[in-house]
Amino acid sequence: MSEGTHPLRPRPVPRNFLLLQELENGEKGHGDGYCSYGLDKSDDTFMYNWTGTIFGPPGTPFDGRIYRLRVYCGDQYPKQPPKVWFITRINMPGVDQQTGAVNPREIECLDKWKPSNNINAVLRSIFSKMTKRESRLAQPPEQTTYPTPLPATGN
Amino acid sequence: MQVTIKSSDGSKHQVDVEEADTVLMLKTRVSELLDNTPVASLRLIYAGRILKDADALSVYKIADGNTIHLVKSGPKKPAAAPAASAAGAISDGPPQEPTTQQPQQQPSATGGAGGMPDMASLLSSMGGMGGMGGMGGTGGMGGMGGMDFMPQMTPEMLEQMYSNPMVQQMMQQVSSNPELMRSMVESNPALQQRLTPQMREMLADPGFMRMVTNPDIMRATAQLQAAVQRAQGGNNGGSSAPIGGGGGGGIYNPWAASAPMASAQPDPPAQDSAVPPAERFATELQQLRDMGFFDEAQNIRVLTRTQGNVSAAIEILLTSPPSM
Repeated sequence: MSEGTHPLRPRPVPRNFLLLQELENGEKGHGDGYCSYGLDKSDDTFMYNWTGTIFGPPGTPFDGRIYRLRVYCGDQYPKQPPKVWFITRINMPGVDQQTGAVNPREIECLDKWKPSNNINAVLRSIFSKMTKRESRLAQPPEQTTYPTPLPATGN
Repeated sequence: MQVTIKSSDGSKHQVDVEEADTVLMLKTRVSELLDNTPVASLRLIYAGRILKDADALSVYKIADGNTIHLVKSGPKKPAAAPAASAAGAISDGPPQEPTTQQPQQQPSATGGAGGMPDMASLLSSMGGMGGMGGMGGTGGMGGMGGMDFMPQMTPEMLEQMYSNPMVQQMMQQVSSNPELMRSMVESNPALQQRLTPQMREMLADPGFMRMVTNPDIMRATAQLQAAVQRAQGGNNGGSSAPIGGGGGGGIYNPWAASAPMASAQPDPPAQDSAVPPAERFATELQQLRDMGFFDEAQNIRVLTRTQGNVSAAIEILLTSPPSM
């Protein structure tokens, strides 16, 4: 939460190019219709904080709900995977019920991270987990959120 | 400029829009493209952001060639009168809409109140109110800041009352038929005497009626009142603090100035500056979050300004531009 405030630290160039490409992909809506993502703040020059949404997969307890997530891409992205939090409350394995933090061990794309992965792949991987039998759990009321102090999201 | 509307089922539509168009205008267009799917059931998402009806597309920096995702929500909406007032604004933000939660939280109430109430169910609800004793006629008034109408009601009682399926049903009927509320009030001479012209005007406002009859909002108001009383050390015995009285007279207590008991309002609670606002307003902050206000820092600022009055805070949050 406290990283990402060192504008003078040198970054590998590919990081920013890659993230710019991801930003464009997010805005153009490439990929399937279930995940969407973009920069949390358009003036985030170094593209640390992203905001994503996952539409609950049909036929699961998440059906019809929109889940908001926070994605943090640190300086070492894409060598290191992003950190991910659910903003919208969700009851599923691998999500910390106090903070909404996603346990990378529980999400295949994060657990077996490759630098060729991207934010969309992370959201897809979480989506995929939502369709699993193990995720068929009772859900908290819709549109409730985790009590973590959140960055401004324009809402 | 042209944007692509991409549905979660994979279908795509090209739509011509202007940057200055509002999200609601875009939804209306999309609705026409989709065999007039009700606008209220459409949710649009751009780059991970849920679009709010009242915002212009430029707010989200949507540009030519971009793709906006579309999700259709199920038929969850209770029948409700359209409103263009502050209450309308609360429920216009599609994902944060308190009313969409109603069917979940009060499943028993939706049965009889799907559409316009017919005469029989209307009468039965009036009968139910009679059963509640002297409180009956004032059920709807509780939330209007008119605590002096029922001075003995504690927040617990109010909470209980609003959880009563019968009351919820009545509330739904009243919200879909403001006339019913008026006739209830007007059939009660004691209430009538106390109604100022200002109050009458408010009863005629469908948006206000909808707000008053939203159990979620009323519950929040009751909690707020409880919080105010706690802050006062409970020395009021739960009897004299009007709802919302601790704050700056928010949207739920618009009668404070004219209500007969207004002069008996206790002073706003002394602020305990030793407790940081984040802790002091923990309950209120949670309420704001639940309603979809996620900017914690801004919420704290606003709550501090309104001394913890959630309703007044919402009013400020809704009228001030979003912090992008």
